[in-house]
Amino acid sequence: MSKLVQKFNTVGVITKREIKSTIGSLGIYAAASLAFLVANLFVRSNLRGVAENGLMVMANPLNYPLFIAVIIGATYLALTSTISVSRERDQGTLEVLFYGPVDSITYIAAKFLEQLVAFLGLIVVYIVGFFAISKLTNFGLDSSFFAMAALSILLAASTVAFGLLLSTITRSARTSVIVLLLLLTLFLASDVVAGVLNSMSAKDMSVTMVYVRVAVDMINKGLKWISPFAYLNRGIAAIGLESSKHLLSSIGASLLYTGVLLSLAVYLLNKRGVRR
Amino acid sequence: MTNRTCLILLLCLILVGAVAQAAPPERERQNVYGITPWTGKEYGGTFAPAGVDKIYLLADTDHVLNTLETEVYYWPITKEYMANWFESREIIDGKLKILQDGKEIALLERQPYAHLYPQGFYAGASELITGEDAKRKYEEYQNAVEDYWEMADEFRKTQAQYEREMTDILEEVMETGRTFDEHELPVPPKEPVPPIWYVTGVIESFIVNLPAGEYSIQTIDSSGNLVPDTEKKLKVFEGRRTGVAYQIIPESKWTRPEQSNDISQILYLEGERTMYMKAVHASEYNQHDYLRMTSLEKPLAGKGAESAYMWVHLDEVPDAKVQILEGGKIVQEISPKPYFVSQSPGYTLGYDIVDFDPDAPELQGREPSFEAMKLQIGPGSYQIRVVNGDGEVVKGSLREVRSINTVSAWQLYLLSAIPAVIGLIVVLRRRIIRRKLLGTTA
Repeated sequence: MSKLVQKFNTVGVITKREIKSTIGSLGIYAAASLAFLVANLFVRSNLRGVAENGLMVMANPLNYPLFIAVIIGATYLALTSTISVSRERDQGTLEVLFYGPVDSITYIAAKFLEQLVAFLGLIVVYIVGFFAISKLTNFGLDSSFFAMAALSILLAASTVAFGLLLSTITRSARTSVIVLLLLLTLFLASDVVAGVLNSMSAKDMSVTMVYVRVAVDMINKGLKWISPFAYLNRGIAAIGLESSKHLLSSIGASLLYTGVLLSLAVYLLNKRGVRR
Repeated sequence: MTNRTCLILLLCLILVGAVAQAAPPERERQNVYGITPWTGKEYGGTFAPAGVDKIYLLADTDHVLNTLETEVYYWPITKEYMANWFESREIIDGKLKILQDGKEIALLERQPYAHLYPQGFYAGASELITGEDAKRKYEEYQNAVEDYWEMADEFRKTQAQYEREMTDILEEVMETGRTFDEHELPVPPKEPVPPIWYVTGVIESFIVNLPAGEYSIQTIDSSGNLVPDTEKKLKVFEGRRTGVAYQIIPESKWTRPEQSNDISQILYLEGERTMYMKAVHASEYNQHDYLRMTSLEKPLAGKGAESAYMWVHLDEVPDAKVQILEGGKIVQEISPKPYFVSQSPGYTLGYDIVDFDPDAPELQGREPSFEAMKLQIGPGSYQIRVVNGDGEVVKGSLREVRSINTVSAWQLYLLSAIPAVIGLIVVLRRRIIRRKLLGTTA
């Protein structure tokens, strides 16, 4: 058996074992429920808005709730991958695994694939759930919703890769989790604040708000290539503009970003070793 | 120091402060570009003072630029640079050189131009007329005005004659008691109507019309030297998207219209609703570039909005009709009509939107509040679109209209709980199986 096939087998075995463990634990189901709960708060707010105003113009009212659900799901998976790598190192499992046919590439690849498969399952559940919400409320599900669902797989991939990279950088599980949550919150906050500021009328903006907007814009320019949410936004914008060129370049950039993060994770795992 | 001295000193300080506050801002003589950009819907007005190094203009349309010397000052209240055009405005002779990638692509000379306002100075957008056409149109307008004054003079004379004749008739009636037939009475003269259209005086400026791209401009004097402070970067940009936008006036709050700018923006309704719609052409521009183009004199305009886009509503779609479709079939076609908003009498708040009938006694001498297409839509899912005068569907005008269902909160939250319930079942089942297995092995 060639070395490559052996590596694939190893990745397959670890991935299967991890997926079984994920499906058999309550965490992923609780994350899905939490995602729907938070998403439904936004759905309810939109419903209330229409009921109070009688008429409201909204662009894809289920897209933002889906975005929230995706973030919750992706963050949960990134957290679990981070914790699991850090815990396996702390408990010495990682060292034991590496005495066998496992190396840094197969290990990181297996961890990444497991979370990606779990997210694929999650996205199917999301689509079914949002389809039910659409039927209940009559809020429309158009092609942009499904495109966003597809693009969110890339978001999840880069978020999980980001989590794996952090777990190889930091010493303890707690530090990994804190750093991951802080960075994801920063990425998300800058994205949301920029969205809110850009939707405000420029004419009525106070000087302070203009400077806030300039600062947020500069931060976003800096985060453009490291925030997974920025990649998703670029993809969604490309779909809105019906620009296949921009869509392909955004998908390519996202895949490249994920690849770079995973390569860095492998490199750092090799450099730091697997011992406690 | 006594209390009295302290008080006097404090008063002096306050007075000095007040004088300083009231001091006029410092003016500086600068070479500037006066800019009249075409904003997509009208000609605007701004200028590029010495501190501004980049000018923004829309692609493939005429804009007016003029190199001038004036007094510039910063007005902190509105946070903008102001030019003292009324007291100080000198035209700097020369030519406008346009460069791209360091190479000269055009050397413009000033040419005559005028603005034509077909619907009057205070109504509608203006048109830019250049060259000999501008001079001709201005003459035509002057002639129209002169003709009007001649007719008005003639009218005054005939009106006076008419009034004299009427006075004589009245006196005769009062003296003799004789009645006059209608055909015996003089015909009142008809008052002439002044020309509605307006043409500004012809002046000379640089007319700039360029394709999208990055350029630089400079003014060159008659000796071929660069006029100081006239070298600027120039960004010529175009819209990211174009389409049809809807201005939607809900019957329940006509002063707060909604907007649907692109095809993804769906109209959601609750129950049966009446709304009034206008369809306008719209273009989406980069917010930073557009705001810099229209308000270059404001240093903060567009700052921080480099990655944001904004829809700009242009002219109304001419001869537009709205079609309502249900299941792909046209169920209604609506033409625009004038409407009048009639406020409720007395102290009660509220209003009614009624058809504008110019012959109705209560609407005599009134103007319609707005002209729009009235849509009455009941529960269901529909589509709307605009057709032009030729019956062709206007591209980018399709929108969905959906009425929402009343959903109670518990239905949504129950849905959220389903994955957790499934998870519990899976975990419990696993535990039961494990226990059974342990029991078997024991």
